[in-house]
Amino acid sequence: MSGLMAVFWKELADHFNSKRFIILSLLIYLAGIATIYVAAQNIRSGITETTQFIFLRLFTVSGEVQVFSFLFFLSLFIPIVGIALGFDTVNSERTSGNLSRTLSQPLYRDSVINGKFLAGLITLAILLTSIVVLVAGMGLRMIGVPPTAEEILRLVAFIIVSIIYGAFWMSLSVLFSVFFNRVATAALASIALWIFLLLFVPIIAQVLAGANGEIAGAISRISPGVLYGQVTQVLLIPSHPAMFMISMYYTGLEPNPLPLSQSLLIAWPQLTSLIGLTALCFAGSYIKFMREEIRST
Amino acid sequence: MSRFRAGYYLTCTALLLMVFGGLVTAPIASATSDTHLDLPSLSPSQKSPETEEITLTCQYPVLSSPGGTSFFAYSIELQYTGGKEPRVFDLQVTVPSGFSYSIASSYGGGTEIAAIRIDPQQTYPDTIKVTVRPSLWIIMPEPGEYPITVEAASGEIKGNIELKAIIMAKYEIELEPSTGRLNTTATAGEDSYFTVYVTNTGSADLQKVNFSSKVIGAPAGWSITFDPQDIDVLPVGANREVQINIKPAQKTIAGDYMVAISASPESGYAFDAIDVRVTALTPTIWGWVGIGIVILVIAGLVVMFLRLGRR
Amino acid sequence: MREQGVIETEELVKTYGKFIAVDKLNLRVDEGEVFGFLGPNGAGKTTTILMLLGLTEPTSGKARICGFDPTREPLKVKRITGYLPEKVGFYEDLTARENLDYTAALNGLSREVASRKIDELVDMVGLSEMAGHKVGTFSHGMKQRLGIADVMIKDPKVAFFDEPTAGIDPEGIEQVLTLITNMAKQKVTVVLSSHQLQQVQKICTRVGILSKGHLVAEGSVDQLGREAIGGGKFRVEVQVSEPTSKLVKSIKSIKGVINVESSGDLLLISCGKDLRPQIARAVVDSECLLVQMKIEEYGLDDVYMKYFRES
Repeated sequence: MSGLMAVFWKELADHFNSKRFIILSLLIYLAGIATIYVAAQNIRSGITETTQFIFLRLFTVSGEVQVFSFLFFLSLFIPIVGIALGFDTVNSERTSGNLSRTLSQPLYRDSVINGKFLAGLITLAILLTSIVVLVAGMGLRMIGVPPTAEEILRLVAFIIVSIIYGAFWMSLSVLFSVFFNRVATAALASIALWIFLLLFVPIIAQVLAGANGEIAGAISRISPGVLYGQVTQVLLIPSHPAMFMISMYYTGLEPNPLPLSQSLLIAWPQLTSLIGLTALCFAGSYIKFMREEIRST
Repeated sequence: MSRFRAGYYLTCTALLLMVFGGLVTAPIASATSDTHLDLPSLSPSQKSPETEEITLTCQYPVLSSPGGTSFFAYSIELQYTGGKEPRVFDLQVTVPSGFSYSIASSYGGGTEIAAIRIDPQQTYPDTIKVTVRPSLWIIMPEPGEYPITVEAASGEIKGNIELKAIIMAKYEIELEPSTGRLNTTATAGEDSYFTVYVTNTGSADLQKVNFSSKVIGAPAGWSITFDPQDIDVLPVGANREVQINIKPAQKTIAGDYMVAISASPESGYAFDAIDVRVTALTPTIWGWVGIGIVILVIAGLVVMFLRLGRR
Repeated sequence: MREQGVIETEELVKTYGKFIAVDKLNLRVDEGEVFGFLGPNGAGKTTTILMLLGLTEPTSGKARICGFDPTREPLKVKRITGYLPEKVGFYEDLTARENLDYTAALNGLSREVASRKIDELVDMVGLSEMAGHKVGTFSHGMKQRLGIADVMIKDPKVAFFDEPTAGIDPEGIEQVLTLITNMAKQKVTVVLSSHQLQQVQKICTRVGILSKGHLVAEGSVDQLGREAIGGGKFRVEVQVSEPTSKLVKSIKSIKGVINVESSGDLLLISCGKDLRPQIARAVVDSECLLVQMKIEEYGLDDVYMKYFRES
């Protein structure tokens, strides 16, 4: 256990001292602040007498032109952060010769990969929580409307889902870092897969499914980005219940805010899929790492 | 913009249409009555030449105007019968005090005339036009009926016609902010006062002046109350101070809102509305909480970096 | 049965597919020994060390480190063993001290203990001035010394050094070897592997020569030399004009001479100690003319070369 914690603290400190991470998080903070500023300017445009969840709108309202919502920015940045946190987890240790030295210390081998994964997860959690809370604080200052208890719960759920989404990309890049000895290969493979899932899966889904929207939707759900988008949509835009599901079951449903429990219920399959994918990637890297022999070079 | 503004315009348009309708239908009506009048007027001129007389007829002898802000124009036909030679008749108009008048030929442009030469052999439809107006524009004349007499005389031959000008009461109300500026500030969930003056600018007392308000864009939970709630009687020319308490909703997003304030009496039609720009401020506590959260997050990150940072 | 050795292996085998990396290795190292594991690249030295450390599982056979099975109880083994891999790696972005801190933390040392120990160790390996510098700026020799400090931090009972002298300058080699000798003096059992014999033969109390996974020879350097060259430690090469059998006989009779071979005018004499004066006299006595005489001390090199030529 002490070994795991030692690895964890060392990796956490590594993340917080790496230029890569600092630059990336500064970028995200700036983008987040910019989007929230724009959102605060535009938030009133859509509010009517019946509007609920005003505070949540801060995160989903975008500018009139070319400025994206906070949610959009975050969904774009989370994979990058996840990949950046994971792609050199194991292979850099291996090529630098640190791995055999570390493994000759009295700690279980899985402590190394667990500690590294945990450190990445906590880093992600700190980054995402701080950005959402920071932005929420700024938003509160700007619009002066305090969030309701449910809005706070929804935001917490949103943060957790975002961390899970980031964890997926991190575990994917960790997987690549276990399989590819070269750091650059792992990074490129992760980014390639990200772009493929982000851009091409929807297109492929369209082509394969033809005019059938339901099948296209099902295929596009291969992409974790789509899953994340759907979950966050349900969480943050409760007034438009599951737009993506309307075509299937909810035709004729009135746009009325759903309670959080119902929102979670709708998003549950997507959420569990995300968790499952994350666990799958991590299990893959775990098994490969544990089975791998340390060989003389 | 506002539904009220729109309604106001709509009403004006409707009024205008009514006026136009009157103008269009009037000539048709006069044409039909002319054919009726022509027959009896032709036959006496051919039959009995013995008595010379002047008759004045007017198709619309009673005119009315709301508030008396417009003039009264009467077209009068003079007919001279029994004579052989054309005669010159002097024209005289008697109006109530405070009224002025002018006589002009219906055909001769705007030239004022005082006498007219009439050939008995001929008829002159709408011979002259008598225009009467309340002379003092600033103070509206009291509503009521004002008799006007138009007289034509040449020697012993005299004729006159009694006309009537009815001045109806005009209901007008005006809202004016006490500061002269149409903006104010209000804090979410807190009372904020804005004073307006209500003035009766019409020509009749206004009964039961009510106020209403609407926040444009219709965010929920705003409370706008008036003190006094209504004014029982607002005499002509009088003004009253009304305090408006604007209390934005608890969950108002900071920024500018337009609030439409309107007043109208139950008696008669009168309406005025002003749009007040209300800068909604949010309770400073949330601002401070927001800043507090931001500071906490930054402090947390700094601690994190210090704790994990190397050297 | 003797007292338990610090390291014992019994028929240790490791295969990678069809390739046999280590073949039936039987080895015993006692406490305080400096055991040199010699052999060319690919002989199975590193594989053996990895198996002893529990980083690689043996295909068959048994290994024991202080009585612990590295496969079954890897943590117990790792707690008492230090390992310096051939390509020693440190986190280049961290300072020497931070790297050592990490190792200390992995070994569960408290901060105070670790800090004190690191101070001692960097002083010992002569890096106290560089302790605050990033390892990325270190030379290979410095990293190797840091590696020794890294091994020492957990007070190991057994220390494995894989090619500790590879790729560093002579001065660095000297420092590293001195440090390893000092470790042995502190009752640490040292196993070091190398293919550069001259460098390590001075400090090894015992060597094992590994070739293609087989332990072809084992023993002290002297002992191995004797075994290889038929006992002699020195070889005297004498060139004379017209060597006679009488001369050979007389040289053979000198006490300490083990063997004499003659080839042309060359006499190759192997002997237990430096017998040049006696040989010179024998040559002079035999009335042969001495052209030249040189003496060679048998080193591990010769032993080594012999075994590798054989295999």
